[in-house]
Amino acid sequence: MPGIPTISALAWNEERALARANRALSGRGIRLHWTPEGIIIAAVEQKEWPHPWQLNPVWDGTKWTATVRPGFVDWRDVCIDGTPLTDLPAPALAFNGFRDPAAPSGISADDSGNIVQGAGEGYPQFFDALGVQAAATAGIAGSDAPDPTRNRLIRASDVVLITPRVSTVQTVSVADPLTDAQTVTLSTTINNANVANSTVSHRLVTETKWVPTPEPTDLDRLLGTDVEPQTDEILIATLYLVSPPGADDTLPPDSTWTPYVLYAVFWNLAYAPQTPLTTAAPDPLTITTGLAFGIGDALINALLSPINDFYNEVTSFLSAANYAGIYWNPGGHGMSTLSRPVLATSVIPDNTGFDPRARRLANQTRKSATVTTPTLNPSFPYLKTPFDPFHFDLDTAFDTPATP
Amino acid sequence: MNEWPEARAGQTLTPEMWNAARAANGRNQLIAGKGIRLKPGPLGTVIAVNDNGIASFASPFRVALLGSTSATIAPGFVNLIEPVIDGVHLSGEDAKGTPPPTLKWDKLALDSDGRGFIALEVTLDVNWKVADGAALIVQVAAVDTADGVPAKTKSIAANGVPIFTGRKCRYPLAMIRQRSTGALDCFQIVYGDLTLGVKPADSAATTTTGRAFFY
Repeated sequence: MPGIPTISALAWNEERALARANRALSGRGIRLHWTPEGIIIAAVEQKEWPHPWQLNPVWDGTKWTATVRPGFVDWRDVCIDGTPLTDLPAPALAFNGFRDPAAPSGISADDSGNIVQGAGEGYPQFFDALGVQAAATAGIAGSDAPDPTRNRLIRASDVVLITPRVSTVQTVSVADPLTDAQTVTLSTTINNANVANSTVSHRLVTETKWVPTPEPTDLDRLLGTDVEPQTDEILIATLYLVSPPGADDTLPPDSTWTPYVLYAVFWNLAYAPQTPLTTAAPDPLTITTGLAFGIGDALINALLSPINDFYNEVTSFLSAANYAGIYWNPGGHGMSTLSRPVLATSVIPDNTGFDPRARRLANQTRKSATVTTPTLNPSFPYLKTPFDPFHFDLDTAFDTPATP
Repeated sequence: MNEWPEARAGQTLTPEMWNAARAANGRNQLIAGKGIRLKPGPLGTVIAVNDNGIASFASPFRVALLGSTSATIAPGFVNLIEPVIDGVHLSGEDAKGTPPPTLKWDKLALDSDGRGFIALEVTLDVNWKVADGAALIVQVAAVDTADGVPAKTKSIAANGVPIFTGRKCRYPLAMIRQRSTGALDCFQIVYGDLTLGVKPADSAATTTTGRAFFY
């Protein structure tokens, strides 16, 4: 009788022990979710190293406020309502207005008489998994099908760092248009009223929705229509509030809402205007062209032309009158290390085909999405605001340092 | 196939099934990826996040006050030069057996609001370069004045970091606030090695002032 292959109890138990040892157990920072298809391993948000500018939002009984972990611009304290962040007791930001990032961006009527809406601003993917209502899509108003599982409201408000600065206005004088040689004089007027009236160098404010103020173009300056802003501004963070399920859309956020903060700046900042501040405006620039019987616009077009002999002179003059400032993070050689989370909503695949494998994968993806929600902010070491030495023409920055 | 073969009731386990089961066990081995730590045990393997040092981020130039008359500064670099305290590099001098130095002061230099700084002070050479030994750590009440004493009128307008006569400039590493109780709070400002670029006031060889940019 041939021998029957057998497996010894010892070998069986050794293999059984190995299988058991490979069982996943959740440790620090890990959450496990068992499904028939396998174990979903998710990272749990850790108490990370606290960075400058961190907000601590609280409901003070009447409104949402937030204290701010002190951040600096060079050696200067940053203030809230004139009080430095390093003072005790610490000053707090008051959030008096919120926007609805899910609401349509605008309503209008098209040629067919339909009422159409613009797409909503949107919000980070992080909020999808919390059941926040989807952002409005562009199209016929009211055509978005409501999702009963996403019935939490969302509101947002921005925290902005503001630095007062001088601004300039260019004046264009066109003299004697009937001579053979056309003379144009460009003069600069410096407006330092905002700087003179400010009591602090840098301050934090809340804005319902921050929109960067555009800087004037060279053409604006040459036409004398430029309005240079009297502040430099940078977005520090956005406070999001998420309502309980089924909250009343007409009521403002209160203590029942949950705060989340999306950061745009994680490190202390440095700041400098592109042009050193001086007490006197640049000397007027006078240019004589060969155009005769011209008008101002034609001259200006000629001045802007790259093939014009005066182009470099004019652009140099205009750059000297540009006091726009730049922020960056000191330390780390100005390198950017991480990308910001993108403002986008996600679509979870809903595979209802007949392929069992595809259905199982889709099912697992859905479950995974509910467990492994994307984080709102990047993990340590956070994003850096890079520095561009070329902006200041710092040739010496790239020279080899002296040898020890 | 990462699963053990299924056995029906009464079925004889074959060597093939056994080998398939062993192979599945091998493929199901847990392997630690980036940022993950595994701790195997007889009842299972604990999976944990490897968060080395996140809570206590020891950055370059990290300032730690020692009481009210001294501070330690973690090693850091400016333009690849390690600053010194009393002629000793921040990381100490291995060759001489000198330990990392401590910055000491008799009395804190503070402004009228009780605000002072631990600062990096760099004196640039004639070629606007940083030489070894020319980067110091100092304690001052003001960073933006040549003598480190606060100006009588506060400057609101920012103009970058000034280079004073003699090609000297400072950048704050940390701010110290003295409270009304006398207690000191230290706020770290710089969290990384620094690069220094300069913009002389003009191109004349005799120019010793200008603007500095630390990044």
